[in-house]
Amino acid sequence: MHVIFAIALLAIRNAVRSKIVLILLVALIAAITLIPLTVRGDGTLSGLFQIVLSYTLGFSAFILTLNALWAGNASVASEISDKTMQLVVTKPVSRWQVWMGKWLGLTVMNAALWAVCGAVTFGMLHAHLHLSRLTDPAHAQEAQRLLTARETRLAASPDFATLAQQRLEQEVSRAPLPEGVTPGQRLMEIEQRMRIDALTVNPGGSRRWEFPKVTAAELAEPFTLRYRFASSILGQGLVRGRWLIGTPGRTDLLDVTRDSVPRALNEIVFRLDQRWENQPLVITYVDMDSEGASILFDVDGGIALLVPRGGFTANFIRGWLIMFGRLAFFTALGVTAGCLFSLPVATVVSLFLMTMVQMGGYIQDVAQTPILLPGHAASPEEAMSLAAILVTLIFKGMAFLVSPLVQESILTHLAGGKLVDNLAVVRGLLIQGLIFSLLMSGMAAYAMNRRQLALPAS
Amino acid sequence: MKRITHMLLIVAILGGLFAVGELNRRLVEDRRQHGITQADPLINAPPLVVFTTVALGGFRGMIADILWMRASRLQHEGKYFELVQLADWITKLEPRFTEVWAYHAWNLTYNISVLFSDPSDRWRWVRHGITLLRDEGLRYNPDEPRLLFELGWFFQHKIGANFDDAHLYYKQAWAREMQPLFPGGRPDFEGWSLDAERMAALRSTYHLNPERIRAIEIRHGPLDWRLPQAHAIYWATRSRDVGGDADVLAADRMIYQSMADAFRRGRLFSGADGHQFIPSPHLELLSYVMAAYDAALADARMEGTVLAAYQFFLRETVLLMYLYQRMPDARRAFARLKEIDPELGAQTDIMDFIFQTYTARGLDMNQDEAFAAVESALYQSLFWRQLGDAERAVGFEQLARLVWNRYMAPRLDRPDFRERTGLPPLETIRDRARQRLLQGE
Repeated sequence: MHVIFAIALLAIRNAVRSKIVLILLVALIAAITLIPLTVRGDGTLSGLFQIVLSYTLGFSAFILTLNALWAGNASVASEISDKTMQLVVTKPVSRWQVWMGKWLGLTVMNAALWAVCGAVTFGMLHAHLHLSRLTDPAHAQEAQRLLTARETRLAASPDFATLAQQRLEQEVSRAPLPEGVTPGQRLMEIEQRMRIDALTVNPGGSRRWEFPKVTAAELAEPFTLRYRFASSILGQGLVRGRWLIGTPGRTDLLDVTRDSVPRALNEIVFRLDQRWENQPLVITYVDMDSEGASILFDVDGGIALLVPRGGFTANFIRGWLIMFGRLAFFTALGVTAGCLFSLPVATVVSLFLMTMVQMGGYIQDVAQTPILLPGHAASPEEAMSLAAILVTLIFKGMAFLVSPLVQESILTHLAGGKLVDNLAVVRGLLIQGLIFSLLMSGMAAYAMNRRQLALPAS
Repeated sequence: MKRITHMLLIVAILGGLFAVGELNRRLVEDRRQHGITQADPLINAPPLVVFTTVALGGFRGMIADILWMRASRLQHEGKYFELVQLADWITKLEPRFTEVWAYHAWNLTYNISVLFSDPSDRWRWVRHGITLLRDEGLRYNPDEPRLLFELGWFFQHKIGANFDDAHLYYKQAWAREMQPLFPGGRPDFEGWSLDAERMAALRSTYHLNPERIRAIEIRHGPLDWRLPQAHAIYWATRSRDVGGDADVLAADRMIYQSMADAFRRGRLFSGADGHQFIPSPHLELLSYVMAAYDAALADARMEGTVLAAYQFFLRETVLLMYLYQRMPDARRAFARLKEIDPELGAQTDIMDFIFQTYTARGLDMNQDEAFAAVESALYQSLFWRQLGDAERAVGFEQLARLVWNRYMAPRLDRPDFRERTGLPPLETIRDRARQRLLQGE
């Protein structure tokens, strides 16, 4: 084990001596000190908090990712090219130990830097909140809200696929489908119709959602109801509605009438008491709009309940750990690329892979969308030329490869006060930080064993 | 020897740089003369902007695209906290691209503000748009007529008109902000020259030039500078001064429309509690508004659009002046109306015209007309009561109630509509009429 530690120490020493790493460190210091002083929020405490958090941590993570890739590439590739690697590999040290030592050393260095970034950001956020509370006591409540992590809960949803299948069977038993309409098309139509009906409220009508049981511990902090909808009247300013919040036994324990803005995210903050303890939360919306607008709640969940689940500090640490797992992965990627290629090639390959991983969500979206290449195709079927099929396959392949690495933006979660759960931490550290890194170490060791490292310069 | 060579090389490099600088200046001048440069180089720009426009070279377009896509996505997701920063960066990457400034200022002021239900939140975003254009956009494009016009438009339309549910809040917030600079709504030229702090606020914060304000006062009349119309006129005159033909046309339209608005609701009345801000007609502006319309009418290019607007304005004015017992002004407006409206017979009597206009528009009044109708009727009521004619006073009181009730009836069950276009309580309007009467208007 001490061999690995010795190589790790050497890797740290070499990285610290690298000019590029030093430049990146200067950029890192600039990022964590200057960004909070220069960014412009939207004029609210919450806006400033979110932008300082997401920009400072985001820039720091980006610079450290570049640092991890570059230092990883250089730690092996440049040592191979300047022959210093010969001093190591001629000793009784296996290739995987070399890889592991380099990765461990650089990961420890990145962990230290990432810890500094996290601590400075955390300190500055608290300083902002503290100062704002001193200057304006009205901000105290807002600060308290920002320092609470909230879990997003969606209402129980019917099994639309099964219901649609049942409806289709009923229809088919009564009469055959119209000519040209396949059962699959009809099933899709029925399911979409059901989903839309479940989210539509007509004038004077109402819609009800049931959320999971409320625990006693959750009653201490206020809940937030977040919703977004479209109005059937284009350009309508405000839509009046009544929100009834209760339990299955009594649905109108709380009665809130609110003018809400179509298309915008609307929020209602409310407190619950002992009457809700261990009871499902039932929320009913009654359309009271005087202009007779029908409303359609957002198809992505309709309404959501934000339930307080702990403090900001623990959430911040969890988010920090997940991002650290990502950093360890990129370090492994850098070291592996350095083992496989010369320094310039390793750098390009690492940057390409980093971009692909970071754009994983976008790649998955594209892979799920039929790709139509430019032309004069009259229908999607016609447009699926060989080239289009090939592009689709490439994207599907890339989407498959990056799928274990795709994750929701942790920064968005932290900035928005959304709970980062423990499972996500374990998954992030285990899959990205460990399993992928170990897989890469095996690949790199194999490649290094096959590679001749002491060739004379041409 | 080596040192001397190094020194010589350094001197050669410096000389080369100097020569390139000189050459570049001449090149820029030649490009300007031949009209092949879209924008002059930025002078005295902050380092960040110089860096983004020079050092990033062709990459700045790509970075701007990425930021633009991020802004669109965040806006769609309802995450607005970053949009001010992104708009700031995007515009700094393309500081001479006026469309970019106009788009982002418009987006903040119009598209995002309406996504909030609370008027104070909305106002914050309206302010962000105004600030972006006024403090940043005009800094890099000081003589750009399009940006000057857009800024005027925000005052004329977003704040001055009543299309936004929160327009009253905007007017009140702006009036509160302007009050220290324009006590009672009037320019304080003497006070400004003695108070460096206020002068600095006027020039540096709001970018208002006292000399231009004085010129506007002389040409367009005694405006209330706490109201948005005066500021719309200010920025329109600036756009007019630097713009081409099309800009001048647009600016002139903004000027006469804002003048007409200032006439209709250009007096600010603070309610009995001292906190309310209620705009009401500014009758002293009539001559100036007519002059503005006449000047626009004289411009052959505008005749088609301005004629209809002028006719409409005069029709309103005749009735308004009659209701406020200003018969000479009503007759003057009527005489001009007859000149420019051939459909109005030369023999038509002013009283017939007033009667027809009042009954025709009785149920179809806009907010300003309804306010003026109620206030003028209450004014008449108070006036005749003061003279001892109780019967007549009661008649006007009843008329005021009738108009108020008829106008408000369709709004009583629609709070949002009432909030946006409704009238203040009758008592509040009576206070205003009483104040007018006591001031001898």
